[in-house]
Amino acid sequence: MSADEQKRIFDGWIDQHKGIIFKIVRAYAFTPDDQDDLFQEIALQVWQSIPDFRGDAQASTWIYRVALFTATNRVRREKRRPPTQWLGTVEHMLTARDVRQDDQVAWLYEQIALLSPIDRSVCLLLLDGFSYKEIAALLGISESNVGVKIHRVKQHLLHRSREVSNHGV
Amino acid sequence: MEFEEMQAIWDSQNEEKLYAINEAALHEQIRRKGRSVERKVDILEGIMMGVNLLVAIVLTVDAVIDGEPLRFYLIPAAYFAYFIVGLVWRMRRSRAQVQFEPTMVGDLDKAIWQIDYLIRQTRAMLIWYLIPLLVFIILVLGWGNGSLWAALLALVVIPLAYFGGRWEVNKFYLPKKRSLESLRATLLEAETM
Repeated sequence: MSADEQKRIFDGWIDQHKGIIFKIVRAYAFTPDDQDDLFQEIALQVWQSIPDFRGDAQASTWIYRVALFTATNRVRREKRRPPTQWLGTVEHMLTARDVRQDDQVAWLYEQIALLSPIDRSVCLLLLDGFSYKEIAALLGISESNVGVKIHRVKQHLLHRSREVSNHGV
Repeated sequence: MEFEEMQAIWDSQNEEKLYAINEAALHEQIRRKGRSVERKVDILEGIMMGVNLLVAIVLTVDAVIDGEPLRFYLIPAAYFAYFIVGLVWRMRRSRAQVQFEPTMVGDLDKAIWQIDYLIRQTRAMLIWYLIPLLVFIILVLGWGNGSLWAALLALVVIPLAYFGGRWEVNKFYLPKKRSLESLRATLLEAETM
């Protein structure tokens, strides 16, 4: 694959599917610097994955997988090593726009952030309407295993939602 | 709130408007860092193999020109053997890379395999490269050839490289491998239920 072709595919993917990457960035990184770092890392992994893409899956599913793996892997790394502080000026790739964020969406992201990195992946896929079968195929695990994880995720979200209702928030 | 309501809230968001991408900076970053780990390993392996082959040829030609006895061909033969081993490893690695499924478990398996490959390569280099090299240097010294200072320097540098390599494996590669395996186990935790 030529570099030009790779760049053309990359630009098209980022343009069409940036929403997927933004959701994952927001679910796995919580400060502007971390979100910028994670976005860069995902973009790089997406770029490197392009020559392996055979078109067997949809591009959106492929990007979802690459981005979730990168985000999960980053959380794993940061458990072992505290994040490094930036020294000097760094050029940011991702800038938060001054858009009013829905409180309920923000609450949902807060609850997702409380899940383990793997359950977070399952939760994002579930909320984005992926079926059990699709989640199983994307993660490479059995549908019954997906069922166990989805049950746990739903229990967590419903429990937190009841807590909020009971406290009149 | 029921789960279906949460899904409706989720669907209502428009993340695309939340961030702006600095495309010029992103392309620059891709240009600088876009070379994959596999390509870097490919290049490193290529350099190692090239150096081994070059040293083998130069030492053989040198021994032929000087009319050295047969024992002086041992070192170039060893370097040629390292070149062949490198070639075989490279072919085995290329074949193994194809086997990983395009799933998250497959991605984890690939990451674990790459770490394992680095561990095996480092350990093999320690055992099959540094130790024989040390033995050869001692032998060459015993035959009364070579500079004593160069040999003494090698006797310090080689053990340092040996223990440094072991430290690298224990400090970085093994913990990384264990944490990837733990992530994989979490992903597969309910597979046997």
